[in-house]
Amino acid sequence: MDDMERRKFENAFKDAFAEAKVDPSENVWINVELDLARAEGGELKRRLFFYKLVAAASVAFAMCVAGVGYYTVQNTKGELQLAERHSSQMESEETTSVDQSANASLNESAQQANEASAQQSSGLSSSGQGNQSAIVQQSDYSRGNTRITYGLSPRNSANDSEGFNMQGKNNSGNNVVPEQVSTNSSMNPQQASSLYASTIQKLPKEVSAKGITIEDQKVEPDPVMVMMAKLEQKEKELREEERSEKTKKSESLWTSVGFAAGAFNTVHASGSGPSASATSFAATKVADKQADASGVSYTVGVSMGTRLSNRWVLQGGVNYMTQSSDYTANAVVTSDYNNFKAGSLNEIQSADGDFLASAAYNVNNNLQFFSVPLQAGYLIVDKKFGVQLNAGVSTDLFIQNTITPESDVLSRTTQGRGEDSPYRPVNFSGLLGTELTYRLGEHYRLAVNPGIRYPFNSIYKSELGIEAMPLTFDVGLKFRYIFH
Amino acid sequence: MSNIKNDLTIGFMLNENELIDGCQKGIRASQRALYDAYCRKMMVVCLRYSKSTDEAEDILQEGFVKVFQGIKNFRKESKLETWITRIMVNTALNARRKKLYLFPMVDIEETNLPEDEVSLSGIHFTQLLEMIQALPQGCQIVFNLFAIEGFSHKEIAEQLGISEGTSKSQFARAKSLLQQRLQKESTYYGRYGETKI
Repeated sequence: MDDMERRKFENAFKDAFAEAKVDPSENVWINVELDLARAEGGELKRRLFFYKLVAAASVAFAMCVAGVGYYTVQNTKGELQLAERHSSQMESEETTSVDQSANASLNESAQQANEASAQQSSGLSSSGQGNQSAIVQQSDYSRGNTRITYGLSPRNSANDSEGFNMQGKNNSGNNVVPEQVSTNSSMNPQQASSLYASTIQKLPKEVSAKGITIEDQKVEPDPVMVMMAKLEQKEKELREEERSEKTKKSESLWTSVGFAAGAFNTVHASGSGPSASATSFAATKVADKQADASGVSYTVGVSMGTRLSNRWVLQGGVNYMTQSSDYTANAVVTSDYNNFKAGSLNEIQSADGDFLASAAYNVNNNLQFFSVPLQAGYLIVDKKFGVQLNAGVSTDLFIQNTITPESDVLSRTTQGRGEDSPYRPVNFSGLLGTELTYRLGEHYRLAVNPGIRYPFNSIYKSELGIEAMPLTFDVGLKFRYIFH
Repeated sequence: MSNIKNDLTIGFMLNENELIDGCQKGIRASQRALYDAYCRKMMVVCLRYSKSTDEAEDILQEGFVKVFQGIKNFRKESKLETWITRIMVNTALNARRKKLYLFPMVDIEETNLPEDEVSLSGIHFTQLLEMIQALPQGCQIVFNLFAIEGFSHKEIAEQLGISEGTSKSQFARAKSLLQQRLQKESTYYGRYGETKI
């Protein structure tokens, strides 16, 4: 039935449209190209995003390590200070305990513990005022004897009928450096009374008598123990110094070979184009496409590094860098209409041929630079695994540019530096990156360093009217040989 | 690979396989060459399914983007032109689907078709295009799919989500309208004795 219906009439229509052609407007292709470029741009953005993510992750990692490192250092310092404070407090407490125990026992025997305690906290060196107790203490640790003099009356305690002398061997086991009793004023009454209570039990029963005078022989530190302590401290310091020196000396000069790969994206490209007198619309379009093109970047080089201080390093070297991008040209250049070259900025600058509109074709644009980077680095972690933040500048010397069209009939062209070159001979770029290193042996270290390269100026000469500053994200791998 | 024409437009002639390979690699020049090779034919396809040139160009643009994005999966089992045409038709149908939803196709009473077949000889395709574009939405699509693309009513029914009967009645209506228009045209030319384009 269908076949019957699709008879003469339908076939006539089909035939009428068989070879029918209508030209669409040029905008259709432009929009198709834009849509495709947008889709490809999305892909490139995703790739760039990966590199950014790697760079950000490494910076974040470095920050975390720095934070942990800082915390550890601070903590160690704090512990040391605490230990010092603790030992000095212990010393003072021990000294005090001797005095306090004596006082407490005497106070108890004189039934004036409160007055004595108050006196203790306000300064035990005072003596012979009103009804307050008077204490004179002399300790002699070398002899192992303690002599405490105590008096209740304003009169001289030595003459007091109720006073008594106590001599004992209470402190023979203590390694306490004697201090002035006045230092006890820092203690509060509660502490003092608790110390009295604990100490009083250790005192002989005779101390419970009223109005006593304890002659505490002068307490001096055991010189052997003091010397031992000092030696230990000195040894610690020396060990610390030695370790620090060793670290400093072990990696003070090194050289490395490296390779880096990444992508660059032209962050700023103005399309005012070259002077219109010498070029056509096609030439301007080609120039814009070439300047806007993004692509891949490869770097290979050697570098030297030295340590400036415990944490700071300086690195420099020489690199060979190549940046490759693709663009679509819609024009060719010819001077004799027999030989054709791909449309590029090089041909616009040399102006020795005519630009002719052509079918679109792909062109590879390859730039080569000799780069001299100089970077300062800060070692966040300087152990077997190292983390380093680098920042610096790079002087990029333009070597040559090669234009390779994807066509057999168009010749490949190379443009060096010089007056007829559209490229600046010298460019400067800022470098920022992280270096994650791992020490493989006494003389070797492997480093991975993601980083960015931001050009300070356009790679094209200013008179050309086109600016292009390719922002490069790359990840490098370096093999470091440590001299010493 | 290519011949250089020594005129202002330098064209590079690639065969179909080279074009496909280039497009599969995403080479812009190959994409442009493929576009140049088929854009005019496909513009006609798009015009047949649309009401205006702007609408047709939108379909053409969207269709070619789909072609370049999907060409990686093209296995050369069918002719490239057939494959591209199919993409264009599908794109056009998608573009019109919303409108078809708003104006659903319904069965139309059987119209008595004129007995005499009207000859199309001497009528330029642009006039035929105008006639097709002037058809109601549903009729236009069914006529294109049945008469020119060569689908059966069953296939059309499945593709558009309508009944086979609706497809047939829409086609009959389209055919009737076109024949009336063609008769009017031939009368006009006959009366004023002008030659057909």
